[in-house]
Amino acid sequence: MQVFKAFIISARKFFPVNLMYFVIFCVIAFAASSSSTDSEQSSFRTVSLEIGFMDQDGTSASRALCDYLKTLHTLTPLAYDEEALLDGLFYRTIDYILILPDGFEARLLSGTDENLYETVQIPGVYSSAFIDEQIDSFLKAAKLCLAGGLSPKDAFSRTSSALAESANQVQIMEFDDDSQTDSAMTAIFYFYQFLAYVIISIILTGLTPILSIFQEENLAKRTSCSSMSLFQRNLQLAFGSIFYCLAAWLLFIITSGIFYGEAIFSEKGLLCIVNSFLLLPLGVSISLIIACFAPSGNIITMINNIVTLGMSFLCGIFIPQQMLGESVLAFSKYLPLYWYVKNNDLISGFGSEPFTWPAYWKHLGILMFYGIAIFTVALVVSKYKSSRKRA
Amino acid sequence: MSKPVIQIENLVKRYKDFIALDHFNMEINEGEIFGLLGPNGSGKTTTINCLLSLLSFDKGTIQVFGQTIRPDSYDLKRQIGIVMQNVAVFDTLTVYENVDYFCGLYVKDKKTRRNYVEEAISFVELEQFQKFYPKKLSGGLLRRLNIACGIAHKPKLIILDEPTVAVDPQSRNKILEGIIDLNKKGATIIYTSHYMEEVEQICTRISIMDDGKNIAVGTSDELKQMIKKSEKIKIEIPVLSEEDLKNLRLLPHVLHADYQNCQLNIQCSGGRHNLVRILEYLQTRSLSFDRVYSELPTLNDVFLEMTGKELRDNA
Repeated sequence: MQVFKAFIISARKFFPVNLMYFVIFCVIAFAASSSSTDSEQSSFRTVSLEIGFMDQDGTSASRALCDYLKTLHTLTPLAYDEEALLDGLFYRTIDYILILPDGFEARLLSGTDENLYETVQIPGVYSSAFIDEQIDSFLKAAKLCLAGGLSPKDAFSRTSSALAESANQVQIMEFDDDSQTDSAMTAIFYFYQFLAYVIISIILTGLTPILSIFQEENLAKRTSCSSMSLFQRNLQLAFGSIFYCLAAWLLFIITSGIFYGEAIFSEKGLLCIVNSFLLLPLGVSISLIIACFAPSGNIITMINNIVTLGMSFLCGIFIPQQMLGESVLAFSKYLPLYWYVKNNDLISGFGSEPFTWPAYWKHLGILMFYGIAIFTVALVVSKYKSSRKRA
Repeated sequence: MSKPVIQIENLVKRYKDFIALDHFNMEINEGEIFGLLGPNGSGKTTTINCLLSLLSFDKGTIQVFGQTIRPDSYDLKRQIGIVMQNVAVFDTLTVYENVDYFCGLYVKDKKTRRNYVEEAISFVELEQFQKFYPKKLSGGLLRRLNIACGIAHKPKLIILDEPTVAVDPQSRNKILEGIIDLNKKGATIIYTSHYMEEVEQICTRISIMDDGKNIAVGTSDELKQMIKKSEKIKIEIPVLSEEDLKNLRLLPHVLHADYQNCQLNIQCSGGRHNLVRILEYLQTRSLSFDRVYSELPTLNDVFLEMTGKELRDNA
């Protein structure tokens, strides 16, 4: 096991750099887990706005609309005083002014949408659009009831009560596992999200230079002259690479176990671990292909940084995928870490789609496919280079 | 008669239109220190690379210990030690670890290997540098480490491809003494170099290569006898007339004579008493002279006469 032994001894040289990665990552992970709260839950609350209204129509239709809005917001009847209304909006005592003019019901019944009602809003406030949407919902529902043959009075009162009942009912899709909302799970999610960057960095920083040492022309020639077969040499190099990567990965898994305790052994925790395991073949294959092309140590470091940082930014490790532009996402779909992050989002429930087993296996499969594909390319390049040297 | 260790017949190696080895033949017998002498680009390293199956070749046969060598001839390779022209060691391993690594490619038994490694380190006198990393070693020490890595497994055939390039004279002498010592212990050695003095000093037989061809093979003396020039005589004479110079040219065995900067240069072919004859002539003509030098022909002269090129200029 001479090659394996030399591999491990050579790996010692990169221990300080890898230790630095590990320590920095642990500090960030620990800080993240300490500060993680149920912020996602507490940040959602129902908002009731101050609406000033002037019902100049006084019909069942206008009353029904006001009744409906009262179930959602605070409605204050106003007299028509333009200056007072503008002051109210300016000082934010009123968020929105609704004026239902004379003939509101008549126009609604005749199906005329023009000048049906008037509003005065604070420019650039999103909550106004929210109220617009609610009024629009009421009017559409009322028109449907009228079209269904109900009398105007019944149509408006039913619309009002039906919409009021459905208001404020937000359905949240939940996993069976209650730990979804657990703060430990949030911390685990962040840990495994950033783990992709750290693991790939550690593999590329440590493994690529070692592999390139063994591929260095003079040493490769010298080893080819020996009585050790090429298969033996490659096998031992493979063992060395597996040992190195597994050791780094296990270290992080144990660290996550220490940080998050039993939560890491929950279903989601284990799914995260399996997902992260597939980073190893990916890292090894990227490392091998860089070692095949890179001529010197400095260039290796440069390429490693470009690959790891580039993939991390583009694939949503540093910036959530939901915040990335469509064109960026369209490109990053061709990068393996995109599928790792997507799977991590899927497990944690922070992504745009709910967890399903087929989606999970699909993402794992794509990740594995990338690992195998890059590895195959690296082997072909390596074989081509060695055959050219012999020619 | 000793057995042939290497037999190369009609070896041809082409790089597209360039012919690196042109029907090259070579036979090396057991116990020899065989020198491959030639300028850079003459085909020495290509021959070695073909011999070790590092390069494929277009035509010819190579037999090592009576067997055809192929990339997977691992049993044959076990008996060969190679010291590459470029130092091939791991910067990440210490001197001891490097020798142990290369020895371990051939020797599996740990105890035997430990003894071999210690012997090799002692042989190249690197005992006090065992824990040093290669980057901390001087050029000469690095070359010695390179040799230790190549010979640690006690091969029967050792190939040294220009092992003294960029080495200080002291380290060079140590390396050359070591090679002679290895030969005395029973190893057959192939030594490639473009330094003719080294080759002349240690090799029992020499092949002179140029443009991928084997120009001449033999011992140093045999090679020198192949050429006309056998002795160069230089005499410092303050004054020499044109007539005396003509008379000197007419003396037996004198091939060439010229007079420049108060120095008479005479080249003689084989034959005894050339110097005595010339000095007698000068005395009879009452020509006073100062210092007298007599040089026997070198391998450079052999190369010059055979190829019309200077070996030194190319080196």
